[in-house]
Amino acid sequence: MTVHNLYIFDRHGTLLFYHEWLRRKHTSMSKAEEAKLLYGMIFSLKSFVNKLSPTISKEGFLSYKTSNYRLNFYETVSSLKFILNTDNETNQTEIRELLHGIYTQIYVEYAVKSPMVNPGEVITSNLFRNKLNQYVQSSSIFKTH
Amino acid sequence: MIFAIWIINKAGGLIYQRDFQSKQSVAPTPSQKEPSTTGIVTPGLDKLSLNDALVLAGTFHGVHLITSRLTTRLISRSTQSSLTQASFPGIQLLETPSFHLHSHQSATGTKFLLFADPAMVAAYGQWILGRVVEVYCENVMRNPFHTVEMPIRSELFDFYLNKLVDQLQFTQSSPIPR
Repeated sequence: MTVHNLYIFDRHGTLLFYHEWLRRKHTSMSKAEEAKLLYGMIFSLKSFVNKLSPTISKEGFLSYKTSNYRLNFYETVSSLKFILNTDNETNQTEIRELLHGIYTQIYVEYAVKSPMVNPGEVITSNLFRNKLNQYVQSSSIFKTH
Repeated sequence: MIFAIWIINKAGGLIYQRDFQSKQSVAPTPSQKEPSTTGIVTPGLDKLSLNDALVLAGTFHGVHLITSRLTTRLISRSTQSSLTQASFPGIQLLETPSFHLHSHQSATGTKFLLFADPAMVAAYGQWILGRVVEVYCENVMRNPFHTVEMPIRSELFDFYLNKLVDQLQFTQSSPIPR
């Protein structure tokens, strides 16, 4: 039950924040390219799911699972996207709560309300990073190997 | 509850598509999609034109490839030599509020997709896909008139697939083609 890494994208697709806890395999691309690839893929998946669903609900695609990892996706009303990669054994409801908590308790408190953080720019605040780290590590999902 | 089964070839083209929802429970046509007001989502799939389905199959093929590259865990050499699911590290399950999509990639690169109710467990979905692969091998691969990687037009395949789905859900699926 571990958390691998977290990406935060804004409505235009810019990577606002990236943090990794446990990642054993890195791709050969630069971080910016990987972020763009990830954003494009999530966008395609969202429209794929929208086409197939009978009703337009706010909660479209939630997560996907491969044999190696699980990707969890959370989108806010302001089109802010949180992407969290975990391993396969984690509980879905706990992850939804964790993502919701990250948005309400960490992002809103320390990124939106901070005068140093401008919308559309990368978040460099150390306070945000520390609080996020603290929050994730104290949740029940996080266990180090 | 099984909603649909799609088969995608190596190149990403849709070669088979079949809907198993009964007509009464299918949602309105795409032009009349309404936002869900109560927040309660009915499970099911929307009706799709053939063109839309072709585009979506291609999209899924691309996404499957990207997800296998984005893995965060090291794949050890030993698992790569055997043909377990770990050696096909693409997407296996896609979850949404109205359906779950189970996917299985064979050793030849053909992808079998199963659209099912969100209540269906992942292991059961993979088992069903295993049975679909068996029906595929027996009726399509062994058919001397079938061109590989081309759309499947086999009455026997339709018949046995219908039989399989009927056994699995005891509801009326589409009639046996004559």
